[in-house]
Amino acid sequence: MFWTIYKHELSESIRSISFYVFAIVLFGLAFLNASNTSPGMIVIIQHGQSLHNAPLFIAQFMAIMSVFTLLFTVRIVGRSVTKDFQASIHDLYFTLPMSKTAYLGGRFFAGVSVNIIIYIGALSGIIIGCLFIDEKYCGPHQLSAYLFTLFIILIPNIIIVGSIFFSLATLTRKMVSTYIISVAFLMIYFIIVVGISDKSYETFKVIADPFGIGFLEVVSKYWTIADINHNLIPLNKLIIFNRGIWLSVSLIILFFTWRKFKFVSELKSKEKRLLKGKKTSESAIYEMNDSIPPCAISDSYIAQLQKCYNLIIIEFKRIVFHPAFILITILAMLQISINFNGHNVTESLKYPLTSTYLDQVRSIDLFLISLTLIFCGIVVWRERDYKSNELYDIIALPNWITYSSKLISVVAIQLYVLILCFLLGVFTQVVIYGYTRIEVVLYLKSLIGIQLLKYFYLAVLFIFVQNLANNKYIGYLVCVIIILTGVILPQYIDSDISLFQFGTLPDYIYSNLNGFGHFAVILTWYNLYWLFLAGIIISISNILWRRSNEMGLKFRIKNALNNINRKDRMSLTVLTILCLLTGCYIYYNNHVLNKFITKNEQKLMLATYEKKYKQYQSYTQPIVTNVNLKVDIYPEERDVFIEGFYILKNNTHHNINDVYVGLSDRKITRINRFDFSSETEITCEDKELGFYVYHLHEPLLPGVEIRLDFSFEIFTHGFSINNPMNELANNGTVITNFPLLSPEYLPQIGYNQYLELSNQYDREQYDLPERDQYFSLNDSIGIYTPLLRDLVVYEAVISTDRLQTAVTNGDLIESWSENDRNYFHFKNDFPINNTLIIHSGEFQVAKETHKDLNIEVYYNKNHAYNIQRIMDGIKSAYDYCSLNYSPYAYKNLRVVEVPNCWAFLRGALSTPTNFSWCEDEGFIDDLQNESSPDFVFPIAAHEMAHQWWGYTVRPATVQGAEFIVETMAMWVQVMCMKQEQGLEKTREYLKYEMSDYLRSRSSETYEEQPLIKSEGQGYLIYRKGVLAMFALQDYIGEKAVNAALKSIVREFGFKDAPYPTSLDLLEAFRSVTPDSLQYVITDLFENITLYENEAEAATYTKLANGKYIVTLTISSQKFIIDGTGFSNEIQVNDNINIAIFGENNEELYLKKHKINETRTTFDIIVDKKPKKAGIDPYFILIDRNLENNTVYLKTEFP
Amino acid sequence: MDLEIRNLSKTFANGVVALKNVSLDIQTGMFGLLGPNGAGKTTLMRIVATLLEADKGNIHFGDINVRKEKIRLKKVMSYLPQEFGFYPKTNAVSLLDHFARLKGIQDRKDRKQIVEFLLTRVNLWDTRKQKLGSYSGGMKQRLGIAQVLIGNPELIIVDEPTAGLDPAERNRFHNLLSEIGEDIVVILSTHIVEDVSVLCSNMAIIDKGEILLTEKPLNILSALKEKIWEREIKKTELSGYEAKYKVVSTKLFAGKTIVRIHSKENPGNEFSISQPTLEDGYFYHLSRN
Repeated sequence: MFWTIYKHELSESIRSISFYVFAIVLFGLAFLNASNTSPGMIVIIQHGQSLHNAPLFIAQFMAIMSVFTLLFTVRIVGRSVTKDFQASIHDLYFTLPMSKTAYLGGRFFAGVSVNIIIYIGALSGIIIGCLFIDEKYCGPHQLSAYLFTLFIILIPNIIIVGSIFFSLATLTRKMVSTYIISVAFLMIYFIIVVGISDKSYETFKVIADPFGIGFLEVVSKYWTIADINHNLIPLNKLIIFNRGIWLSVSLIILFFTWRKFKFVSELKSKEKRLLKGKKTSESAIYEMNDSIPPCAISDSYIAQLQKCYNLIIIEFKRIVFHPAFILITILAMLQISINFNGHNVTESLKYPLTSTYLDQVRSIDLFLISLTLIFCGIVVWRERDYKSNELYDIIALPNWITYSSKLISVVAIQLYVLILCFLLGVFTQVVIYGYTRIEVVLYLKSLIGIQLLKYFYLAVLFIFVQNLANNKYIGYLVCVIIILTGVILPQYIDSDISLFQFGTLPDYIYSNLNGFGHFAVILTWYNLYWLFLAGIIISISNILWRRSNEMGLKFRIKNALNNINRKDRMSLTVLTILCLLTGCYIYYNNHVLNKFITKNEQKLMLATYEKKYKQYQSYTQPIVTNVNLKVDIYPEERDVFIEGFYILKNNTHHNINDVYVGLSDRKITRINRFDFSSETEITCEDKELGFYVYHLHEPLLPGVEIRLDFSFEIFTHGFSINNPMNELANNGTVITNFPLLSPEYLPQIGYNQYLELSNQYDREQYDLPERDQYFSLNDSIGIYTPLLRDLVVYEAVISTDRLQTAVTNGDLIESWSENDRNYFHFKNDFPINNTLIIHSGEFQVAKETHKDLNIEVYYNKNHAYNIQRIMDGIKSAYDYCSLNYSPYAYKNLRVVEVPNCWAFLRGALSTPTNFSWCEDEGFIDDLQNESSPDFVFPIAAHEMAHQWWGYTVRPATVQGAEFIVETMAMWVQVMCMKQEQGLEKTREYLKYEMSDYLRSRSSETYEEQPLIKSEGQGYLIYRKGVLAMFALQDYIGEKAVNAALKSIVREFGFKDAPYPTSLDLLEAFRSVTPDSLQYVITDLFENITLYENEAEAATYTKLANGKYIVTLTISSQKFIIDGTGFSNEIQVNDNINIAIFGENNEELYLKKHKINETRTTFDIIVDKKPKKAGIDPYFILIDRNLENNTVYLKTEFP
Repeated sequence: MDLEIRNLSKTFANGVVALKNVSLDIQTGMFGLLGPNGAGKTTLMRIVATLLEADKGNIHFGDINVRKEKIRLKKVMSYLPQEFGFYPKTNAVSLLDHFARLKGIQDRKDRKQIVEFLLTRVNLWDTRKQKLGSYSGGMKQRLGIAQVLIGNPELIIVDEPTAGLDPAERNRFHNLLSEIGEDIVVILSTHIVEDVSVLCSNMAIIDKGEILLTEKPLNILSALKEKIWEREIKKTELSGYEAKYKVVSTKLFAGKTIVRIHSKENPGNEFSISQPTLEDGYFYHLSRN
């Protein structure tokens, strides 16, 4: 019997359309994923530099597919039972002589088999896809990789998902509820399993993930490209445990279903539910032969409105109590709370600002869009679905009443959810965090002005579609296609389509300093435009509203054209005119007042710039020795006038004939003056790319100076979504010439290599050669070029609005008010590095004098929480550096808070005597909370340290330049942390840095270099750098390290070329390191070295004298890694810490031992009772597996 | 007010001709539209109720041009479709109240009165607070009937209203309908002859989209007077009789086949004269078509 049912079911499923649709979709996705080599297009998985058929990718792809296609699986498995109930033939089946086991088993296994067939097809899609790509993307196919994916990932996934939803479908006998619960299952999966990014829950994540994705993620977290290409996925305890648990869960579920299932026609619960509702015994008021009581019929406008209101209320109530609504709303709220409250232990906890909360509310877009989608379908088709449409259609209600009741009820639902979000936000802020600055206006603007409007546009569109569609599900399909097109299409269109993406608002950034700032205007105009367009759609929907049994669109259009009245025509005309006018106005702002440059045009410009002007890079240019500026900032209008001069000096031994000047046309509206103090002639004037060549009639002789006077204006015209010029904020203007941040406001001398396209794929597209971003270590040009420009004498007078304060580098020598404006005169006689920054904003100022240093913090009045901590960090680094390296060269240090809309900055940026800090970081960290790590102090110390490392010692533009700037700042930072927070917390911090380093190195796109050759990769110069420096001081001592660094400061501080390189630093380190430890320097800085240290076993015996003898067996392996990630094991011959700990982690023994064998056993006597022992317990050496470095001791009885 | 239907034709998109040049004049009172399944009754009802658009022809109700002034007609019309359903999670009281509101009864007291009256009259008083999902087919039908009576309609169209009602309920329905049917136009479409014979003062027979006959039931009966004959036959003989006589109907009664024929003269052959019924008229006209 089982086989009969199984075979029948299987053959029926394989003949169904959905089988073919699913099989083709899955095969197609697998094929596209494997055959796609363009990095711009991502199909599920990005392969980067790795092979497309790497075993990890095959497994990951299929595991991810089994999540994304869960609904397919649910449909196939669920339909295998529910179709009987749907067709009402279950009574026929149930009276046949067959067993429950055969019926359920046959159906279940047939469903599972169909799925397996589909997924095997997808696996073959990968193989076939690989045939279409170049060999370099694809290695030999490994059978075991496919078998692993099939038997460990896919088949268990199908059985797990299948059993859960087969059971649900069998027991509820309804496909709808099965779908709803499967969507909920997916959402919970995303929120809980995918959402957990906290590393301490890794094991939980591996086990809780029924799809095995967590396992794949964790097992490969430290894999480099070479590992990905060659490693098979290990079949370890974790995955077996995971599969075991979930398969047993599915067995239990199946058994439960088998027990519960009965061959009955109707479920008891349904019968019971229907008969609920009381039978009333209250006797009737009327007699059987009374005649109809009279009643008044009203037709007034008020009555119409009341009818509409009545319909809305009824519809609203029905939606609010709909299970799908309740479910999605609960999940949305859950998602917000988890995202808002959950935080990573490696991240600092922020104050619950309204704006931060609102960012989370924006992340529930998907929930609200699904709600809108589902209920627009339900409300439009409600009467038809219950077959009461004819009853309603003959009631004398104008179309607008029924139409608007549907639309308004959906919008009311959206509003209802947003109100819940508001209440949840206020509750979280006040009750959970005790935070009372609730910005109600901001809530309103964001929830209503942005989000509700956006969902309203969607509701209008979806109802329009559903009204036109002649079937609800076709309507849904069209809506989904519209949504997906809106998401996918813009990636492939390289022009301004913002006016065609219905209901989409341009990106904006809300800042606590700047509010919505200049985005407010953009948002308002786009909202107006969409409102008018929505109005047009509303009018058309209203006219075409379905009110009879005539479903045909053609008929309805004909009918509508006949019945359209003057009022409709008028309103349509007016709305269309308004919509066109606003559209034109937006276009005028984006394209006429401002220049619109698409992404590809931008790339082309950069490529052209490089092709045309790279030739000038090797010509020597005069250096800037003097900068004098007069800057007038008009924050309200977002205009800036800049006037001033440079003094340029020929610092070379050759004559200079031409000066190359970079000045961007994109931002500067008008150049009034650009004059050299000697006769010049413009020989190249490229306004578009901003490159000018001035030929000097008389060449500039070596050592001679020349003056360049300039004056120009920057006007903001209207608005532009393409070039919003976020740095000119109404509150928090930032103007800088920092080289990495596109110096577009000040003229710049010479070819600007930072403008070159950096993405390798883009470079290939535009026929550019492979790029060497950095000069190699000994390059002769490189060591004569400073990384961050030259030293200048700087003077500036900056004026701004009367409410604002302006800040720049140097000493403030005078400030005054004049003509309702504030003026600030800054001057610095001692040269500073030519990386200047000018701020203007409404600031509070905190001042403190520490020894010879004046510290000033300029901050927003609502962000006063951590000013003291910032001061502490600055003081700590000031003390540390001035004691160990050199006295601070200046008198001041200013910290300025900048708005988050300044796109270049998410953390903090140092310039001479100043540093700028983004409002989202540091200022709003909640340091009161014990569980939050303090990053304010370390970052402040780090930025302060840059005044020495970066601005005193100024490295050459060669590989490893940032090793001098950032790694040394990290060194000062971690030493300050050690002083301030103690060794234990510092070690904890370093442990996270280590895992961060190991994780990040696997996503290196080119190759990992040793530290001294690093090319600005964050994971090297910060993460690995700080680990290496900490290890160095563990071996040679903090004093020796600082002595070496002091010699560098003495030799290179404020000196001109040649500039120091990482080799100079290395030399200094070597000179303070004993010969026996020279290998440490090689390992840390010149090689990529990893260890696998493990404490294998440890026992102890109590001795007669009351002491304890510990026998510890450790193993140690050492690997040297090459750039692509290949590791070569070399014989270990190192001094490594061996430690024994007592109760409460008390250090009983800690000593470096020379370890030169892979496995070594020690006998160590300690005074107190030991508890734990191990090798390198504080992770001085980089080790991918930290958990096994220590073991708990066992007693050994003699 | 009279309902005047002129030259109505309707062909569906799939080519099925539902109505062919139908004209009817319907005066105040009950009007029965009798016809077999698929005769075009429902199509005709739906066109009158503005739910379908005719290809050709006109309908006037009093001075209302139905095709052009749908809303005006809807204000005075009520319709009970042949097939309909209700939102299952509501109850009879709130449903009727909702309809009363939509039909423009503003006053809460008025609504309460009419709802309670109707619930009593359709015998749903005791189950008025029960969820509609638990209603049986007959209960739903009665609720539909109650809904029709809300809002002082001047034209009531009921399509197969008695389907699914037990004899007692049908009786109650007949009473209710005849009571209100005195002053307004009620069109009752049915394939059950008894409904018409009990209630209607005027009737039409429709088949294959055409009106076969418009007549008062009494006239139909008198036209058949002394022309209906019946006898008991063996089942096997039926085809012979059908060839030989105008068979109006055959019926089984207590296991025997009784055949009724139409004949102006005595057909002999053991036929005996029988009292004509409206059913005879109905079948007679259908068979002539």
